[in-house]
Order: sequence, then C-alpha cells, then structure tokens
Amino acid sequence: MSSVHVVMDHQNRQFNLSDERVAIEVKDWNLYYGQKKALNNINMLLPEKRVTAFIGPSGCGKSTLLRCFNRMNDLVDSVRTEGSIRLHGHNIMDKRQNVSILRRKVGMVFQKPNPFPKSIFENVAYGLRLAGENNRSVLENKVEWALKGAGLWNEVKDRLHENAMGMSGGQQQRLVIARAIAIEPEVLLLDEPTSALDPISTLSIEELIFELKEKFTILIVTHNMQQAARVSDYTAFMYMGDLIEYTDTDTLFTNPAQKQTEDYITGRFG
Amino acid sequence: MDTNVITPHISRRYDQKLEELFNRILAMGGQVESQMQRAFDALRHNDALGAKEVIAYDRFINRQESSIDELCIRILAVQQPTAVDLRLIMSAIHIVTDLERMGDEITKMARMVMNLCDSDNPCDCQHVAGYNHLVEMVICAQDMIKIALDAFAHLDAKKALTLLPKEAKADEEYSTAQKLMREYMMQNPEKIPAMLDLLNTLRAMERVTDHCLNIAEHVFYIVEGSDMRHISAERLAEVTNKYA
Repeated sequence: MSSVHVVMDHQNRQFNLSDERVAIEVKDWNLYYGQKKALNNINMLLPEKRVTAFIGPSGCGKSTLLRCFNRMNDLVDSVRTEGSIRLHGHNIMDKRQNVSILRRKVGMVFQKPNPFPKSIFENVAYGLRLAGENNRSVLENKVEWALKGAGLWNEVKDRLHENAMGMSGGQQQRLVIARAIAIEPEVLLLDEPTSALDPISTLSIEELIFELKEKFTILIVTHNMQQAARVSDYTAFMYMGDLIEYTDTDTLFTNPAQKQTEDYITGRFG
Repeated sequence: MDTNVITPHISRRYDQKLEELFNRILAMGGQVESQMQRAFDALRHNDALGAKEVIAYDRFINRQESSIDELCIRILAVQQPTAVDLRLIMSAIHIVTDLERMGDEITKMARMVMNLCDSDNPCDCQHVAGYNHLVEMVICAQDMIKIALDAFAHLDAKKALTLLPKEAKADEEYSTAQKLMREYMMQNPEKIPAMLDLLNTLRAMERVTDHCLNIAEHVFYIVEGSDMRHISAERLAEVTNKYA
C-alpha cells in the first residue's frame, strides 16, 4: 500500500497526512464532457478509513469527481478523461480493469434511496447473490451484519421478508447503505445521501457514516456544509472544476487558506 | 461594521445580527470608557457621590455582558458560523468578559475615592503619595481602552499590535510605583491604610491595561486566524514585523 502523504494546497501551505494510509491517489486528473472541461488537473490523496467530504456550489464538479472513483462516468458517451486514479496503488482507469469488480470494491449510495421492489432481506442479499453467494446461512449472517452496520437491524429484524418499498425514506436510505456494505467494499461513495431525508433521519445517517469509517473509506458529496463539518475528517472545496482547497475539516471550517473557500463556507459566495 | 474583514453575506439577516453584535460590543466599550472617565473625575475632585454613581453603573455593564453573550449564543445556534465569522463570535464572547472585568476594576478606583473621603480622617486623594503614578496609569489605561475599541471597530490588527509596547510600559510603571509606595509606607506607617487602597487601585488600572491587551489579541485572532497569546518572543517579533 502506498504511503505518500504531504499535500499542498494552492498557497503551498502543507498539511501532513503522514499518519494516514492512502486509499486513493488522484493524479493530474482532467475530465471533459465533449469540449467542456469539467475537472481541471485534480491532484489529491484520499486517506483510508476516513471520511472525506467534497463541497462546492452546484456544477463545481464534485459529483463528477465522485463518479470517477467507480467509473460511473463510463456510462456517459461524451466523457473523456486524462490522468490517473489509483485505488490502493492500482490504476482503476486501466483498460484491463473489470468495471464490475471495481464497483464491488467501490460502492455507491445516491441522493434518493433506490431500494429494489423486493423484500428487505433480498435487497441486502442482492449484491452477494450477484457475487455468486447462494449459501443460505452465509447470506443470513451477512445480511444481519450489514443491517446491523447500517443501524437498521433492530427496526427490521422481525420483518425481513416484507417489501422494502414500505419503509420510510430514512430507513430506505439506510437499507441502501446496508446493501452497499454487504459486499464489503473498500470505498463507499455517498452522493448527497441525506438531501432527500428529514432532519432526524439525516442525523442517524450521519451517525452511521461516523461508525462506518471504522471499516470503510468514505467519500461524501454534500451541499450541506454543516454536515460536511460534522461528519468528515478531511474536506475538499471545489469550484468550477478546480480543487481550490483540501485540508483537514477543522482547519477548513475555522481558518481556510483560500478566500474563495472562506467566501463559500461563510455564505458570501455569489 | 466599518471593516474589510467581515464582508456581506448572502443572508441579510445574518449581516444584521453581526452588525448588532458589533454595535452592542462597541456601545458596551463606550460605557466602560465613560465609567473610567467618571471614576477619574471623582478621583481628581474627591467626589464621593460621583464615585458612588460609578459603582452603581457597574451593574448596568454587567447586564450588557449577559445580554451580548445571549446574542452570541443565538447566532451560533441559528447561523452556525464558520471561519472569520466563527472567530468573531468566539472572540466577542471573550471581549465582553474583558469589558465587564474592566468595569469591575474601575469600581475599585471609585471605592478608594469613597474610602478616602468617608474615613475618620478624610484626606485629598491628590495628597496621597503615589497619586501621580496613579494618574499616569489611568491616562495610559484610557488611551489603551480607546485603541482597543478602535482596533475592534475596524478589525485593525496593526492597531491592535500597538498595544503590546503600551501594556509593557504600563507593567513597568506599576512596578516602579509599587516599589516607591512600599518605601513610603515603611517611612510613614500611619499612611498604610490609604496607601493600601492606592496600591489596590494601581493594580486595578494595571489589570485594565491587561484586559485591553486581551482585546487586542482577540482582534488579531479574528483578522489573522492565529492565536498570539502565549507565543514565543521570536514568533511575536515575526508577527509585529509583518505589520510594522
């Protein structure tokens, strides 16, 4: 595993990630939608088993960057990329990379919960079955583990075979997280995971994110800055495809180095 | 707010709250300034009644502290400030405490005036040894209060740093006066009660200058984001050179 760990922000102010192990290394990364450059020369090291938040105004490229980590952008015809993204040292953009295997390693949860119209149990077991696991007791154990990990077990243990579509929005989102972690990915991508939820469900997802970082590297895109401040260890601020500032969350929210970051997080942007 | 450090937000309500906070702290500072002037006048004119009013007025300043603290708590809860705004709120909470304590110290001078006027053997404050040192110290404290409040009003780190040498000079003045007064007390033991009152007041004025320096440190923190309290002499020299 690589262990490179000094990152410079735009003012060449150093912050030290020397105690961290690097999960993902993004190097000279550019992404184009047709002629339009959506990500501009992104360089960053994403630490393992930490929560890294991406913040920035709409259209700044944070979701586009997040989708690069499991190659979701491959599904968009006009996308062209340059540079490299290494997951634990392996270039995920390599043509020989099996994308299905990559997506097993890098799970993703979207803004709106998207459970399958199946039972709660089958929703969580779905990825495991796809991966070839059919042993009933193994499936039961893993589903229970994932539901416990997603903080949902106590609420659903007596109705595992009921349809998941009958759950509340907050429960559905936690179910989707359980489905994502059931196959034990290395990285979990969360794209605005709570923007469709009420405040209490949001807090329970945030609490869950805090617990999940024990096992997974978590990258979260959020429009809610307070959420980024609450849940993340590191925060990256992006603007118009540039990575403006990337540092530990405490520093970014108390004493950012860049004026653009300051203006954005203090509500002066625009 | 007459400053380039706190620029307008998208939310006008947020700006209004910060403006209100600024204005209320400056108003409280103005009250402390005026309390100091009234205590000084009472000292110069042996005015026991004026001194009594200064003491009564302190309650009003104390109430300001609680009310500004409440405003800070409301802003923290509702606006969840970050970066320079967060530093402003945190510093505001400290600054009002400093102002409130300055008020307490000023009442000590008023109490001394009342003691000297009301004692069995009343005497003019002006004829007590050390009076001139006390006057010097009060003038220095008044000057420092004004600079501290100006530095806060404009969030002017350069101006805030000018309080560093002034505070060091006030410390020296206090130490010299203390030494002289101790010698005077040994030679004139009958004056000891009055001299102790005077020493206590000198100490209070020295504390006022300390609180002014605290305010300067908070202004520096709001502007620069770095804490100049308890830093090494070398680092402090670096910082002051930057603003020289």
